Parts: sequence; C-alpha cells; structure tokens
Amino acid sequence: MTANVLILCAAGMLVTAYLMVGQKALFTTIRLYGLQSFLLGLVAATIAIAESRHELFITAALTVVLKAILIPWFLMRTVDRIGIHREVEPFLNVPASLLICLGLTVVGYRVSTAFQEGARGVGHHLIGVALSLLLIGLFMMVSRKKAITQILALLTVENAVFLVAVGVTSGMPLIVELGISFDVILAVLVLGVLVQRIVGRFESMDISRLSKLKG
Amino acid sequence: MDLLLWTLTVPLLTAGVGGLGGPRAVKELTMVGGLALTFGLCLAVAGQFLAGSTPATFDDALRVDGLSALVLVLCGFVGLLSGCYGVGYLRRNERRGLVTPRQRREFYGLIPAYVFAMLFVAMSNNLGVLWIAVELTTLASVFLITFHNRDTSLEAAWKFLMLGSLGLAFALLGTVLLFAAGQGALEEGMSALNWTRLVEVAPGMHPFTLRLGVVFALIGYGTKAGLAPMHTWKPDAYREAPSPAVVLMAVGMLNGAMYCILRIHLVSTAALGPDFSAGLLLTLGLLSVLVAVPFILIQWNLKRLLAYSSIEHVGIMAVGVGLGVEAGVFGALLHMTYHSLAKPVALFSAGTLAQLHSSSDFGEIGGGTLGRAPVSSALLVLSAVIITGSPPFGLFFSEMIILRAGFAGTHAIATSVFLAALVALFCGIAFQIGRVVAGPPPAPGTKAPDPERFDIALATASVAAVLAVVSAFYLPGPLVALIRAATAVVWGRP
Amino acid sequence: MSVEALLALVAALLQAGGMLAAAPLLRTGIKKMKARLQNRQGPPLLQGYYDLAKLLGKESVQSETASWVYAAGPRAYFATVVAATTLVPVLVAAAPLEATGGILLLVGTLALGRFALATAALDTGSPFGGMGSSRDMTIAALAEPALMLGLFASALSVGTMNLGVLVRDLVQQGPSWHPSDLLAFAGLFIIVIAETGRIPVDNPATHLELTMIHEAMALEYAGPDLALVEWASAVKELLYLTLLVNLFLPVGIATGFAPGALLVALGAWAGKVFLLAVAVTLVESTNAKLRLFRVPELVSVSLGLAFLALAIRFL
Repeated sequence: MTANVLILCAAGMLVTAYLMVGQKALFTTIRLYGLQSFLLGLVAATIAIAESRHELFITAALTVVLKAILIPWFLMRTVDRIGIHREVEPFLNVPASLLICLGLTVVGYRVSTAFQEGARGVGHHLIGVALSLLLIGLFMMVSRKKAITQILALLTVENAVFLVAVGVTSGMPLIVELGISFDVILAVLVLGVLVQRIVGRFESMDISRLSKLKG
Repeated sequence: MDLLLWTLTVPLLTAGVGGLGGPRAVKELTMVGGLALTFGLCLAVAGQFLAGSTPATFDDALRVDGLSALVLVLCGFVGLLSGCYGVGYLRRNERRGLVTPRQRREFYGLIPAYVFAMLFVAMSNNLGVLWIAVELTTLASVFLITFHNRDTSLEAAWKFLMLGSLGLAFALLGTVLLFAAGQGALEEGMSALNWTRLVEVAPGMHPFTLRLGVVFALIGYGTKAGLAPMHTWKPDAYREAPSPAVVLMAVGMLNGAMYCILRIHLVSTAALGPDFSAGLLLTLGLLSVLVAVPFILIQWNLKRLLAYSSIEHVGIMAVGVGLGVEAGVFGALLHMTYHSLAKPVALFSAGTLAQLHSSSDFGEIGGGTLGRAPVSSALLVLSAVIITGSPPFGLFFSEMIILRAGFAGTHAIATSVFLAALVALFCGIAFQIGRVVAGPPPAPGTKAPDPERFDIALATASVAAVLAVVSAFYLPGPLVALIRAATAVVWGRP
Repeated sequence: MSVEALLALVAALLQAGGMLAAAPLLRTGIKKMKARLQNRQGPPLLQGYYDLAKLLGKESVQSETASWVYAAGPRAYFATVVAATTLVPVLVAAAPLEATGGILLLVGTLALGRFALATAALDTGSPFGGMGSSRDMTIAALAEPALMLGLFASALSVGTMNLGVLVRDLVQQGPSWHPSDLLAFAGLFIIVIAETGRIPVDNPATHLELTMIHEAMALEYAGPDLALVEWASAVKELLYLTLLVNLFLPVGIATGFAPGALLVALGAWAGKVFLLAVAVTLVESTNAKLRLFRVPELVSVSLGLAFLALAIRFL
C-alpha cells in the first residue's frame, strides 16, 4: 500500500511537470506547481507514517504549507499585481519541448538504476522521477522567457532535489531542513520583489529583453 | 558567550543598526566600528586556533580548523576594508545627491549582513549549515547589485539570482547525495552532515552516489565561485554593484565559495582518492583561465575587466588544487591570501575612477586618467601590476609555486596551456589598464569629471595598497602558519 | 449457433441497451453539476431523455443537395458506437463480444463512426459542416494514436490486447500500481476531454461558429437524425469513462453473474463513473476554452504522456 501511494504521488509529480511544459497559461502553471508540491508533501507524509519517523511530518507540513499554498499564493498575487497573465511564450513549441522532456525522463530513469536504492522497486521510481523532474526543470529554465516561469522552473528543480532527498536518504537532519525551507521562501520573496521591479521598469516580464549586458 | 558566536553576532548587530534609520555619522561609525571589531574577533579566533585549540560550537556545526581560520581572517580583513571604503563611497554619492534614505539604509544594512554571511560560510563545519550560509550570501548581495536601480542592474541581479539559485539547487542536490552515500555509517541527527564525520566514513561510501554528489556540489559551489562555464553572472554583477560590495564579492565570496569547493574536494579525496575531484577542478580551473583571455582582450568596461580577472584568479586556485600535489595546494592557498590583499586595491581605485566619471565604461571614462585622478590611476596601475602576477609581488610567487608543481608532476601539458593563458592575460590587462591610464585624453568640451579628493575612500585604497606591497616582502608569521595549517587540512593531515 | 455464442449475444444486447439507457443521464448530470458550480439551478436530471424523445418524435428534414451519405452518417455513427459498447467490460470482468477483438477493434470501430459522421457533414456542402469535419479530423489525427498508446500501456501490464482478458487479469492481480498507470490515465483523460467535445477543447453548450467542432458537424441535422447523433455521442462519452475506470481502478467488478456481485458491481461502476464525471465537470468549470490552434498542443501533451507511459514500463 505504502509503495503504491508513493509511486502514485511520484508519477503524479511527473505528470504535473509534463502539463507545465505542455501548456501556456500562467495561472495554471502556478497551480500545477502547487499540486506538485502537495504531492511531494504527501510522499513525505506517507514515508513518515510507514516508517513512523515523526520528524518527517514536519517536513511534510512545511512542504504543503510553504510550497503548495504560500508560494503559489504569493506568485499569483505577484502576477495579479503586475497584470500580465497572458500566455507563457517558450522558445520552443510544445511538441518539440515534450519530445525533449521524454528523452530527459528516459535519461533520468536510466541514471536512477545506478543508485544503491534505485535499482528496482519504489526507490527506482522515486529517484527516476526525481531526476527526470530535475532535468525537466532545467529544460524549462532555458526554454521559457517569462520571469515567473523561470521562478517556477527553479522551484521545480528544488522539488526534484527534495524528492531525491526523500528517495535516497532517510531524511536530512530536521534543523537543516528547516533552514533550507526558510531560505527557499526567502529566495522566492526576493525573486518576487525583483520581478515586480523588472516589470515596473520594462513593463514586461519577458526576460529575453534583459540582454544589454554582453561580453 | 562563545567566541565564534560573538564573531557572527557583531556583524549581524551592525547590520541591524545600519538597516534602521538614524543620523549618518552614527551609521558610519557603527559600520566601521562593527566591522573593525569583527576583524578583531576573527583574528582572535585564528589566534585561538594557532594556540592549539579548535574552537567549535553547536555539536561541531561551527568549527574552525586551519582552512576555516585562514578564510575567516581574510574575509574579516576585506570586510573591514570594504566598510571603510563604503563610508567614503556613499559620502561621495551623497554629495552629488544620488542617495535616497532607503538606499542608505539598504547599504549600511546589507554590507555588514553580507560580511556576516561570509563569516558564517567560513566557519561552518556542516554541509547543511554551509548551504544555508551560502544561500544567505546570495540573498544579501542581490539588493546590493540592484543598488543603483538602473535597467542594467536589474538585469544583472536577475542573472545573478537565477544562476546563483540554480547553482545552489545543484549544491543542495550534491549535499543530499553526499549524505545519502554515507548513510549506512552515519548516525541520526545534525552531526551526520559534519565534514569531520563524512571524512571519517568516506571510505565506505557508495561510489556512484558519491561521485554524482561531488559533481553536483562542485558545479553548484563553482557557480558561486564563478568558475567557467558558470561564470556569466560575474561580469554583470561586478559592473552594477557598488564598489564596496564588489570587493566583498570578489574576495570574500570568492574565498568562501573556494572554501566550500575545498571541503567537497576533501570528502571526495578521502573516499575516491585524489584523482576524481582534482581532475574536475583542474578542468574547470583551466577553462576559467582560458575563458578570461578573449573577454579581457575585447573588454569595454573597467569593472567587468576586473571581474574577468577574478574569474582568472579563481581558475588559478582551482588549478593549484587540481594538480593533486601538496605544493599546488599550498600555492593555491597562498594565491588566495595574496589575491585577497591585492584585489581590493584594484577594485577601490577602479571604483573611484568609475565614480568620478559616473560610469565604469571605457568609453565614458576616456583615456589619460593619470592627469585627472593621479592617486587612483597610480593605484590602479600598481594593482594591475600585482594582480597580473608580476615580480616581485606576492601573486608572482604563488603562481610560480603552482607552475613548478605542475611541471614537476604529471600535468605538464595542462600546465603549459595554463602558463600560456597567464601570459596572454598579463598582456591583455596591461593593454587595457594602460589605455585607461595613459591613453589619449578625451577631447576638450566633453563633460568634465569630478576632481579627485583625498577622502576616507582614497585613504582606505592607499592603506590597502601599502599592505599589498608590503606583503610581497613580509608576510606575518602567524599568517604563514595559518596557510600551512590550511594546506595540511586540504592535504588530509588535520 | 452454440450456447455460448447465444449467451454472448444476449449479454451484448443487454449491455448495449443498458449503456444506451444510462448515457443521457450522464450528459445531463454533468450539465447539472456545472450549473450548480455556477450557482444556477440547471436542467432536471431527466432532461436528456426528454430531449431525445422530443427529437425522435419530429420529422426528419433534409437539404435538397444531400445524398444518401447524409442520411447514412448518423445511422452508421450510432451503429458503430453501439457496437463498440459490446467490446468493453462494464459490470462483469468480461466483454460480451470479446472473442471478436480487443483494443484495436474498439479504436477502429470508433474511427469508422467518426469517419461516417465527418463525411456526412461534408455531404451537404454547408461551410459549417466542412469546418467541423476538418477540425474534428485534425484533433482525431493526434488523439487516436494517443488513445491507442494509452491503452497499450495498460495492456502491457498484463500482456494482452483483449479488453475482457485484460480487466479479468487486472482484477485477479489486485492493485499494483506503476507510474505508467497514472501517466496513461492522465493521457487518456485528456483524450476523453478532447473526444467528447468538452472545454477546453470544444464547448458543448454553445453554437458559436468560430469555436464549435462537434456541433458544427451536427448542425445540418434535425429530428431523429440529430437524436441519433446526440445519443451516440453520449454513449461514446460513457463508454470512454467506463473504459478509464475499469482499466485504472478495477475495484468492485463482478467476476461471475451472481446477482449480489452484479448489484455491487453496478453500484461501484456508477460511483466511479460519477467521480470521473465530477472531475470532467471541474475541468470544464475551471478552464477557459483554448484557441483552436492550441488544441493540438494539448492533445500532443496527452500523446507525450501516453508514450511515456509505454516507455516507462521498459525503464
């Protein structure tokens, strides 16, 4: 049962990543990120129950509160305030992006087999999905122009790292995890402020306009 | 309270006071006083270490060994320099009416906060704490980059933050993987992530997980250090940030990131033998030195020029460590020390020139600055001579040590390429600096720059220059002892 | 004719009849839930039946230029959809006519119906019919391979292409989830949205000429012909939902014909289809309709997911 729930959640995270790549509405992308983080929290909670490791509950709660609720809310508010919700313009069209992501998933899954815990079973899927998510996040980062989508790509990478942490370790020490969560939320706040300043200055959050500095 | 905690608390308090309102004189005094006290505390910590004890606190999460002590002293030193220069820098801008009260608060708050984060990096003995500290340095410096609030500074800050955050995500992944690799042998709780513990259990680690972890962590912290090809944020950030902040970035942050890299290198060496991470570092270092060559030759901006010089120097340090011999490590750490002494002079004088001309672009500054700002120009020339590694100054010796170690060892070809790049860089920087200082002056009728005045900023630059010159002939005994202790740590004999 | 064949025929008749009877309820149910989400009253639950009865009672009107293709279209469409219902297990872990074929036959039968309707819509030469056909075919060209890949991915877990055998084995195996299942499910769910003309692909509630797809094809029809088209579409929707719930949540399916088990199976089936219908409603209510040229992108996402579902089985 535990294994099933874990696999389901991990696969769900992968699906959200594909949907993020495959569609262009900004709000939906943010919501998908929230869903992805929620599933990550579910993974942590499931492990916490199954292995009765209670400090993981705190991780799960933090993930859900911060990443599934607070950060999406903050990003939506930022998008609302700057009044640009139209479409995300990627450098590549959707089918090509999807094809690349498929390849990245294959790579992620292949690499996962080299891990001690990743040869088969639940660990295989957790690590496989995590590495795929990492690669897809990196891909989104280079293929998207809007500032907010770049933030979301970065946060996807962050989620992937957490999934690796859950998949390959028995949990990082709690205090470290608290510090990391704190830093992540701080970084998002700083990024949000920066986006607002950029929009205020350029009247667009198309970061491909930020290209004066070269050489 | 513990000495280490004091060392962290003082700059934090200074930042708190600076970030609040209050009369200018109080703020200036607090910043200089606070940072001077911080430097003193750093020296005290190093003294404690040299006296034979190993200051540590919080379950060894903060612990000062030879390497930490060296980085701590260097960071404290540039923190003080940058604080003194910063006071003068802001005064000049205020005289021209460029500073809003909010900017003043940001400046006096963020500079000590940045110093705090760097010292935090230097004394952390724990992978997780280290990551948090590095993230704090990133966050503290973002709004220093946007300080001047120009279009380009937003661009630079955005690049810096995105690249830095991505690098840190990689570093976090590396941390997680290193932890996972040693999991069987590590105990529960915070201390499981301590370097000291990881090095102990390193031989039994799962090799694949460890390798992947080392690669990710090196790339991640390499981004913060500005190793090529993750260096692209550096020139932009250097151009946009105010010069006191650039000094902290170019020396303090660089040393801190190098500290992280060396720690990862240590674990990797203990587990996989010296070749794996050393090979990576050699490649990245060589690449950094090579990347700097063309960009210095075509450079159009004084501060960007110095950024590429920074990339070069971090590359030299990485090559020194990557050679995989003890002499190389010693050379790299000596290089770090001399670089920390010399780079501030270059940045201070460049910053003064940029301020006088309201821009750091060569086109705006024009040639022949020696006539308009003699002291700064002279200091710029002097510092250029030093940072290009000319004899008889310190960086020449450290580069010679690294080169000798390279030719004596198994990396003769790499070292030859390295030497060629160094020569090219020497010519490039000499050419560019010569153009600024002695080139044809701008046509009469163009906007006259502000006259150079002898103020606290210029005084700081002069003092730094004196120290840089003196250090070539005389390094204090305790400092040498620290470098030797740090070499011993990196070479695996703590 | 052997006894088994006779039994199978009877079962097929019963199942087709049941699906035909239930389908209008599903459509109205979704309409009703959507209305409730928008704080409207919505139609009564039996509205679907009233509409069909009304349409069937009217006389058929046909354009002068229409040929026999026009008349045959709705009938062929209806026939293929009814035929398709006999290939899918609904309450019992067996399809009535499973001996005739599996996934490929199902997809082929549905494609035949689509072809019939699309040609019929072209027949009168009305601009809307042609527009609807071309749009429907554009989407189908991407959706059909995705549908097949998604079904293959789930077939791979057992190793058979026959839907009856597939569900039987799944029921026996018990729940054992693989990421492939969720990926295939997500892919197929998008296909269901696209194939049944729901928002964000098509809007079943409007006849806005610029956006309509399915409605454009049915625009020329009136009376009993229109009833056949609408009814068949409703059955098709129910069929897709049934397929999804039985393949990916094989819980409560009867393995024999004992009345008790059948009753449980009926309840389970209705409940699962209801849940999926709620999901469809939520998607309809929270999304805006996509511009037409964005639709292939959405469908290509489902193609990607389905392909990944297949690939991940081998990784």
